[in-house]
Amino acid sequence: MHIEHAGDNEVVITGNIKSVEDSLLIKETINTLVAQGSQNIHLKIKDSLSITSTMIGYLMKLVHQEKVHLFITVGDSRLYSLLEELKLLQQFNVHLTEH
Amino acid sequence: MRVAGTVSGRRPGIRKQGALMPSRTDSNNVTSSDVAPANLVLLLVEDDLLSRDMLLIKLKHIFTHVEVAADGAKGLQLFRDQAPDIILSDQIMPCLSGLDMFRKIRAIDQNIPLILMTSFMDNDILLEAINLGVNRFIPKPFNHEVLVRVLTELKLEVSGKRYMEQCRLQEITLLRYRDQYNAMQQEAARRKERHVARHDLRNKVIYGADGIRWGITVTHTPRDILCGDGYTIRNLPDGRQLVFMVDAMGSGLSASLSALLATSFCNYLVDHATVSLKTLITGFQEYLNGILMEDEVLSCGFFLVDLMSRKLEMAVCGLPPLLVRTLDGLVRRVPGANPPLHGCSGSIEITTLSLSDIADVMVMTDGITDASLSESSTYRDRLENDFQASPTLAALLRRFRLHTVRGEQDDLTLLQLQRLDLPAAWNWRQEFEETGQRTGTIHGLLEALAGEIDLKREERSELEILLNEALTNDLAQGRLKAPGMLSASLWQGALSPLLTLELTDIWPGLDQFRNASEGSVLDNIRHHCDCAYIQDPGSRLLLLKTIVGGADYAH
Repeated sequence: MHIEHAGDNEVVITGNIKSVEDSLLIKETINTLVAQGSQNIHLKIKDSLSITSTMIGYLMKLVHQEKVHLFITVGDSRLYSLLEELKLLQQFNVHLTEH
Repeated sequence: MRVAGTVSGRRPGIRKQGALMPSRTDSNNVTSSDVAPANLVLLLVEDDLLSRDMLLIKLKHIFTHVEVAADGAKGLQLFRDQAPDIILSDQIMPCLSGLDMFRKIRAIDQNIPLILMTSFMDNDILLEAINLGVNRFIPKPFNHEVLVRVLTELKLEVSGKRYMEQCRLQEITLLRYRDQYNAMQQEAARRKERHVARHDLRNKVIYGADGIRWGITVTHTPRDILCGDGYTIRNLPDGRQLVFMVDAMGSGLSASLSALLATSFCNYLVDHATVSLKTLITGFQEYLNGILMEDEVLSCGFFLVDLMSRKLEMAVCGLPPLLVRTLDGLVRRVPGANPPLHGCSGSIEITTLSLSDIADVMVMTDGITDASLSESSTYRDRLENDFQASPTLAALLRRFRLHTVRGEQDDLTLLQLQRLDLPAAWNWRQEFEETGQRTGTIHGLLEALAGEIDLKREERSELEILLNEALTNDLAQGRLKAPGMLSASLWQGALSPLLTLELTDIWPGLDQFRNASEGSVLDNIRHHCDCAYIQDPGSRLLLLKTIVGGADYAH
């Protein structure tokens, strides 16, 4: 998995989000942006087909406790389906990007 | 002969013959005095009295224990009796020379340091001494400084080796202790998990409306000792059943604790409160808010099974969609209505599923759906197809294990609510009056079945074993008494047909099954079929088995 951030509020993830280490890296990156004052985070998950439960817990905390406005765009329809099954599309403002 | 300062008998830390191991078995109790150089024993072998006395004066300053022998034969005896740490010997002696004695000692102990004193150091002696592994040579007459230096060096060397060996033994003992401790803790944790996860209806038939029989099977496979998954299946006093399944998201002990606490609290609510799904969920949420960490979420499902009213009330939060199959084999996915629970979850939506035309319902944690098929796909991609082909949980699990990557699986929990009275495409039944008729009964059934569907040879053999086990073995043990009845039916709602075998015993022989539902008899029967249920009351044993037939069920 590779992560980079563009601008003040955009985080771009390429590769599969699989391990705890992947989740920690994403958390650290987003935490840095939030600490710098970003209240709108745009998470672009380009091709991961899944997401770890640790990430889901973290993003829920971000949305519900820290009141961060989260947008997620996903490139893989399987991840979109997973988030749909988990009833998280609305909470995380998830959109599927067209290829 | 014994010099001053020598103690009698074996001392702590003394070497056993032929081994480097210290005599103490409990190396945890090794003290610094055990490994102190002063505790080493020197064996001096010297036939010349004057030399011996002069040597003893020097040796007393280096060793507190010195054993003395006047020739090689006595030296060998003392080596055997006293197990010294170092041997200092003259070469030329009566009875047995120094090298002759060393040769015999080396046959017993390859490691004990040997020092040879000699005034004649010809090549033959030197070569043999080297071949025997003599560690040092001291020329005669003695140079006292050389003598003291050689002995001190060897003493330190032996002490160092002894100390290192004891440290190693201590470490091994400590590791063994830790392993035992960890194994004990793991077993205790497993017992606790099994204790909290209840299954009131294991192997039991449940009655629904119009006398239709149902059953609940579950498989629970933790990845680690403590598991992030949990479940409980409770039979309520009003005849309904409550099923709870949880998958604490995340990993490790934290997830395990959350799953265990949630399951345990759910059991508590069932045992101490009136069960309506709404009150149960409200109480559960209040409890959960107090135990979940701020970034922790819990996927779970509450399922209130009311077979008399033919409905399933459920509150599903973040679990994968349920798989539901109708009596005519139509499969559909029923997604949950709620996201995973967390500390700030709002109200939870309860939905109802009619069971009127339902054959079975499969509920699972994401250990099933998220298992890797390959680098770029998960079992989610083929789950629905495999479920269509699998009429039982066991059959689905076989397909799952066949296709997923071993060793990378998460905790797995899979539960099936299944109708046992299904619209049969084929029926067969036969009464048997005497125990002698059972073989004919079994063969009659297998022939009839083979005429109906394409039975694999192995399947036929397995069915024969299963039926023999169920009839013969249990007849012998007095569990099933003749006369009785064997009936069979085939349901073809799933792609692989489901064979249901039903043993009816008009005597109360099967009663003993009920009391031995965890026992070896039923375990053995279960081994040859997908699942087994006991009807209570009624003395009936139901065995369900997926028939793969001519088709290769791997595809």
